Amino acid sequence: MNINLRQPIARRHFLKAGAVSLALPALDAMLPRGLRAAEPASPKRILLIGRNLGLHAPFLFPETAGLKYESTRYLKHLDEHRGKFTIFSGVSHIKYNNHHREAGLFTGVPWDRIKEPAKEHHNSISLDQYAAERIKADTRYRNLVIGPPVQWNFSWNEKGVPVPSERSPSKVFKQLFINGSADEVASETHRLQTGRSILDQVGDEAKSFGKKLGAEDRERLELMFSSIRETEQNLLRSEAWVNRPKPSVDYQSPKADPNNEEIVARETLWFDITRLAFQTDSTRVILLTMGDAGRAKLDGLTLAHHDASHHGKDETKIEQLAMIEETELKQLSRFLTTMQQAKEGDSSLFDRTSILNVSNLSNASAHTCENLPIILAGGGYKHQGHVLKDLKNNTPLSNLFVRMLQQSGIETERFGANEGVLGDV
Amino acid sequence: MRLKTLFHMLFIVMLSVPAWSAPESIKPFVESNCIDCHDSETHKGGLNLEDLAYEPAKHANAVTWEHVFDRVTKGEMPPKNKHQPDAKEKASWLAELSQNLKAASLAVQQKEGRGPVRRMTRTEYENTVCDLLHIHTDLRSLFPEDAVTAGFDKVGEGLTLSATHFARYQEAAEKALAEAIVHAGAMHSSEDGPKLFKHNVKTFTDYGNWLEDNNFVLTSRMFYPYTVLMGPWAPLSGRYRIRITAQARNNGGKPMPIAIGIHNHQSSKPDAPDLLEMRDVPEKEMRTVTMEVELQREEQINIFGPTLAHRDSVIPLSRKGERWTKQALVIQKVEIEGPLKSDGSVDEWPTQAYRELFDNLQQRSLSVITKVPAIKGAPNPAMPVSDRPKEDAERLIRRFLPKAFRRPVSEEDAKPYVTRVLEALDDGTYFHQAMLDGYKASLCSPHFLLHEETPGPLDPPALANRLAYFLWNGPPDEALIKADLSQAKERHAEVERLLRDPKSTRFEKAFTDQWLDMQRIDATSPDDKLYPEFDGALQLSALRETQLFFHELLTGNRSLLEAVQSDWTYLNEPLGWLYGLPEISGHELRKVQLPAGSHRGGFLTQASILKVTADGAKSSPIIRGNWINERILGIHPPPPPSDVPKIEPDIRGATTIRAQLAKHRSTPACMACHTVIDPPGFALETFDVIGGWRDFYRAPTSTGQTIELQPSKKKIHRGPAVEVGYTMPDGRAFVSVDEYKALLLEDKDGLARALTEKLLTYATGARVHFADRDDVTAIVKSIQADHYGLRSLIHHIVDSRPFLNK
Repeated sequence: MNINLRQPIARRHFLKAGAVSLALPALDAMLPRGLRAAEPASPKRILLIGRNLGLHAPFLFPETAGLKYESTRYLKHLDEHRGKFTIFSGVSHIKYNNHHREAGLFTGVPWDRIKEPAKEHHNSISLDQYAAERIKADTRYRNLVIGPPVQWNFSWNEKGVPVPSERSPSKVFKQLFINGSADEVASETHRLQTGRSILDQVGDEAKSFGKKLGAEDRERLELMFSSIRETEQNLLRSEAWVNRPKPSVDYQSPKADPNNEEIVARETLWFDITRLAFQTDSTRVILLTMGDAGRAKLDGLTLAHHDASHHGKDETKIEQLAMIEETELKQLSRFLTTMQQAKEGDSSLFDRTSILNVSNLSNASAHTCENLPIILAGGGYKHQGHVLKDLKNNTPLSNLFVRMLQQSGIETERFGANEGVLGDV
Repeated sequence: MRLKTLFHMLFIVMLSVPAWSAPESIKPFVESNCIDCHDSETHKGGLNLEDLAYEPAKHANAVTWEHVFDRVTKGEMPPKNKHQPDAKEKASWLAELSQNLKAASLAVQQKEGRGPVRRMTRTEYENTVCDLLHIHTDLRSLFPEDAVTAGFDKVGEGLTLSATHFARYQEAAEKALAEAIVHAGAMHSSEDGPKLFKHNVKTFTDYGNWLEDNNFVLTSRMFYPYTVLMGPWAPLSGRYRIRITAQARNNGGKPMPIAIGIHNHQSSKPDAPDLLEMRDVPEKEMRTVTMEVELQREEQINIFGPTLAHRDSVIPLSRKGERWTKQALVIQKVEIEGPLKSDGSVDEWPTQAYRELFDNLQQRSLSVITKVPAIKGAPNPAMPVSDRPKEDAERLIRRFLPKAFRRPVSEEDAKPYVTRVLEALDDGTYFHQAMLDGYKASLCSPHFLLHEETPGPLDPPALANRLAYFLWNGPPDEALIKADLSQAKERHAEVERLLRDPKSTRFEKAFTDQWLDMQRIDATSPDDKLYPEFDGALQLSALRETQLFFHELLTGNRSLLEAVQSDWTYLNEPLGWLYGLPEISGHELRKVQLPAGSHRGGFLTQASILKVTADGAKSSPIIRGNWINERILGIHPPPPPSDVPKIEPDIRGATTIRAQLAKHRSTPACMACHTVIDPPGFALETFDVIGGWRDFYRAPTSTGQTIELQPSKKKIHRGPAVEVGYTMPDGRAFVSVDEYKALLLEDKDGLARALTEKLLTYATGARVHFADRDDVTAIVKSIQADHYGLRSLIHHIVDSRPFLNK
């Protein structure tokens, strides 16, 4: 609680809390550096950029496959990175044709597990959460879910519960890079320790609560409260980091959040924060949502993003849509450049980060989800320019997800509704 | 090799022996009427009855058999073109199946209850914490969206918990407790013209505000940003009363709306404040209007004229004695007070919230408590102190727990909380911190977060809890907990009391938000070019019409059949223009008797519903048809097969939606469902995406012909004519929406049944099961005598077995 901004915590309290934490299994993150398992020589990172309104296909996809594809109106903005990224045609989640496939974009569950909007859905874990659980790194955050929220989340835990994104860039910046005062740190420490002891109590109470219930309810209750363990680990991680100074970065700390319609300022800031988070090794996995740009402020633009994307084949609307989408691609290109410039050892952040930019819709106007716009950059892949798969019988996007997990050092053959692994890159 | 193959084949043959061991009363009928198409080989529609076990005691199995039961009951199976079973044989088979399914369903209910143990939804959570602490603060947005099951977020099956939830419960509790102890004086602001002008002059003089005599004059709707009169900051989150004395000028003799909004930078229209409330002021004299709005701490109200002319040139400063002669809003006085208590009085310090947590304990500033000098500029809030910390702590915590847990608390359950606080005090934690941590812990307890119900009849606290979350969407108050709800008479008296209380608007809102999708009223922003007449005032009016309509059904115990057709509704000027009833003047909604031929009345043809079933540029009969089927008729068509190609909408004007769909539905496989799905959609095709009547579609580019809009006289491109009429699933034809509604009203019990099921699901947080069907039938039967009154329906629901049992 931030009420006691200036309150020194009683020493006895510290001692007591210390005793509590010793009783818990020591996490890797709590150990001094020397005792930790050796860090991998070249850290693997994953960045998922999720967009929810598609990219106008006729302006995006080249006709021919390979590195020597003829550029398109949209890909021109990425031409300087040719050879360092791959665009995929004919890849999608199979049978996903409908609204609200946002929920399945990164979970890739079989189509019939996510149903109509505002109805039952039975989702599973998303790629970012799955990878974060397995990339065990001593970073301040296990992973970040950031960016303006979309109607249905992109990030989901293994129980199919949405993980909300942090929508305020200035708040994320503060969390990552701004050190609190001594009092604030003391107060935060107290908060984390109290938080853990409350979780202990909640767990005990849930058990005694369950005794009054029927057998099925008791089982359900156990399952519901089993997530406490994960919350506890997050608090432990925070506690292990609360006294370590945050990395300082050479960047103007954002005073306020850019308005939603300031599309350039907003995307620049989110991309910069993302790059800085990786550069300072604050986390290894980030899901960045880049939702509906609303009524973006661009010269000549009069339509809101959603309305333009539902163009109904009207040419003036498609031109308006292109203005927004070209802005997005220019921002993406700038981000890829900054990632290449960020050197890390004998490599660059770019080469150690699998960057996936994708949307759950291919054509927002028709709400189709085949042949998704998929751009994979960086990450040390054998980039192929344009990988052209069967446009009628698409290759599951989850095949690419498995490839990305493997590239990140996670040994798995399965993710979502995959049918093998996409070996083209 | 050969032998092996033989064995293999034998094995397969053995497997294909019917796995189900249905009783003799079930099996022969299936074998002679169903198995031809639904065997393991053909399994039409994905249904394989040959291999389906007969185990109604198992949930998934029961669901399949219930489906079979429903299709045969409705006469949809066997299909019309196949051999039909003997009527008597069919009736007795259905009776037998029904009995089995009901017995199985009832057995599950008696053992486990109708639904699983349920946590609070995020809306219930916010209402509970806010009622408990007497605060009004946003908490629900801290949580992930709750999953929707059977149409409502309240259904337990979908309400899971994740690590995020446990972290956010702590954060939300911190936020709420911090809000509850903020020491800020209540607001009592009263400003006349010169004062208002003085406070606004620096920023806004150039943008169209004048000072005339002693009045503040708003002359323009917009000059970037919106021309507004800014109110003071809210010192605390809560409900505020705003009283404005104002008058319209040069408005063609009509009253003019004065509106209150809040500037929301994240909204889709960043230039305009979000419209919260509006009232009319007349031209001939000053009128004092009163509005109440919810504000978050440090939010600032904007007062503006949503219908004032948009002037985008700089308006000169007023000179002494000068008078603005064009259209304007003349404001004499603005009074604001709050936050308000539920009885309407101002919540003065010490606030209810503070007293709930700390009684009348004195406060000291933190620097005094900690004896550490305050840093200049850093916050130094006041915190409660106690001369007898342990006594006070134990007394306060013990007083709080039963309220938070909504039932008597055993010593065993209370002890950990008392111990926690006392031990913290022993450890040297300051009194306020120990207490706040203790309160925080109790707000994270399963006793707080879960609805405590055990199988069988609900115990008194659980029943009070269920009634409160049904009709208030929040916790019970003391009177409800004390009431003897096992007595029908007292139960009904409490239902009446709860419905009369202003907190029942939370039920009305939550229910219409989900049942009628009103939560999506702003999900799309209609295309400016196609629908230039659409604005925030129209959207708010449309939402209000639906909310007031539901409120009237409920308070007036009007027939729920009026959901389909009524000769009255609530309207104002913008809706009047939209509905072709331009004689209505003023922006306040009022009850209006509808003239014959208006095509309006009932939910189906309200602008709000026509808007949420469209996407801002176009409407689809399939989406609207599905919507009406599921929400009004209680029919749930299956989702489309995923291998059917989507129709890409084409608004360029060459083809109509009917032509596009005709192709899509041309195969018999599609037609089977679309016969049911499409009729309501085509009935509503004469309404556009913002709810206006249309004889022609609108086109984005020139077609050589135009439509002139009223009252703006703006011209838009005219597209093809709308084709009217269609046929009901049973073949009866209709040519207009009015005829369609009349056909729907022929099945009064069906409509009543659909709404009863929705309300029962909402009220109990569990789906309607097979075993509940007879209860629903009984409820519908009993409201027939009450002319299908909605309020009567609520009373009968709280008397029903599903409501009174877990």
